[in-house]
Amino acid sequence: MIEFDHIVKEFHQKKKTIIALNDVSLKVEKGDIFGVIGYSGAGKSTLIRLVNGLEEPSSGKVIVDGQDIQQLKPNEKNLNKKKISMVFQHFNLLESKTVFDNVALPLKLKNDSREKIKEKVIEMLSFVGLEDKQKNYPSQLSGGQKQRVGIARALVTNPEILLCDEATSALDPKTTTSILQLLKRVNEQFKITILLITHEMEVIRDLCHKVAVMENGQIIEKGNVIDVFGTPQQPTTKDFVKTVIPNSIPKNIVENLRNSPKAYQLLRLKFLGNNTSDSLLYKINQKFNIENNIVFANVTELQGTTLGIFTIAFYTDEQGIKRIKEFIQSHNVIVEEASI
Amino acid sequence: MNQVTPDIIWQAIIETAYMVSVSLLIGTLLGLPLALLLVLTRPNGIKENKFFYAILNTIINIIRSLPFIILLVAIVPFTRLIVGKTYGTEAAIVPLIIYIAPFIARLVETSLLEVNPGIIELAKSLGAKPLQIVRYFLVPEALASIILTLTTATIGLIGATAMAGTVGGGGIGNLAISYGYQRFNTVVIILTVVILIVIVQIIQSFGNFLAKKIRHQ
Repeated sequence: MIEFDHIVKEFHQKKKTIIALNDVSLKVEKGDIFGVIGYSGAGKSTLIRLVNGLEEPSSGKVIVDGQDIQQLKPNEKNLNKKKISMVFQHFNLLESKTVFDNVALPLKLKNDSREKIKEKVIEMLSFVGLEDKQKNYPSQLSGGQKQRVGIARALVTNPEILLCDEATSALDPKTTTSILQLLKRVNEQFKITILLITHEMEVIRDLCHKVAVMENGQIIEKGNVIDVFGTPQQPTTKDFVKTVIPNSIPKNIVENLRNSPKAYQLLRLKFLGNNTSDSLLYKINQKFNIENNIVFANVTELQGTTLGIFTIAFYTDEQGIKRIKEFIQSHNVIVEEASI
Repeated sequence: MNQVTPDIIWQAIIETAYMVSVSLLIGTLLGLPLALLLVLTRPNGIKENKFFYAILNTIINIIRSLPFIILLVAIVPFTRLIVGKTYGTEAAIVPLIIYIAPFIARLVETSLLEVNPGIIELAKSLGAKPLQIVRYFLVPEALASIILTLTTATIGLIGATAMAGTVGGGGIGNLAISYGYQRFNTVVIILTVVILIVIVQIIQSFGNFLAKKIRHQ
């Protein structure tokens, strides 16, 4: 659906050149909800703007629906933009227009008939739950309501792709949740492909199927959300995962372990999906008969499945821990040595 | 004639109103497109054209640098060409237009530049053409600010008409100078000043009212 092929984007400022995107390749499948996460300045804003032509690549290709959008003629470019809608961080509503007129704007640009506009605008406003606010002005709405108007405006042209530029970053956590639920409905009900950028891992956790992590203009990690959350490889990815799935041992337990007279080894176990219910700990106890102690545990729901993280102290030597580790690995559970 | 009659005052008010309204109307018709051209062609504008922008920008700056009284005298041949005479109310209107159009262009340019850049980005993302961007996005969003700009221009024009007496344009300002200042008639000065204050107050309040109504905040 959307393909970035070896994209480089440079910005030339007075004396220096800034490389915003450095050889980025990425594929977004039709019907996916794809999230790109990164700290500010990572290049994700530039990336998303390549799709609807707000930015042009210095080199590389952006292919939308099988077509290299650089090769399109100007009038085809406008058509291309009409299949792609965008939702903005700061909503970008016209303060001088009512909610109805804001949502109607994309259709007015197409010179649609008054009746058709009215029907479509009301349909979309009721989809986002704001049909009673048609005559209000944006200044009379809350942040969440403004974003709902922004989403209704984006949907009114029946797009195939929805680009979300930090769509929830200006909202409080509760409103964020409701907007994410709305976006999920957009994807399921209208089969719209969503490409979003964010710096909030909650958005990726609650909404996305796939994720790419960006840093310094490059994609440093990508994959299914469940895999990236389960086994993050890069330090930045680990930092992001930590913001929604803590894995550090609480302070007072660390204190206890430090004062422990017995030698111990720490293992961090990650249970992905169904094997969360496997009675692995019981099996370990039966097989090894080694004293152990759970020092940290967390279970997170992800994409309809679960990710469980347990950190366990085994009071044994290095030889013993090696055997336990092998045993755990044979049960398809991710295990790594941990430290305090 | 030393006596100022109500008729003379009324006549002066009508002359001022005539000069201000005609030059405001034509000045706005010239100033608004100039402002749009400035905004569209400026560096990083929607239709960037550095050469055109530099020329237009310089011309506007030059005219804006001239004090009105100088402009009035300097363009006398041009005035004759346009209205066929160099004396009277119509002859005053020509320099008033030349004076106010670049003023309006500059102020409206500022109003347009104040429009949230996100709105322009939205317009581009919707595939709007430059004229559509102006019509559906820029102008509606800047309208309240443009109204206040035109209010300021109107009041500026009232001030400038006082000098229109130099070419026989008449008006309230001229009344204050010829009957009050030059003949030491304090009552006339105070009277005309009070009239001007009232007019300016009314115009400013009306402008504020309109802008507030459009702004919906």
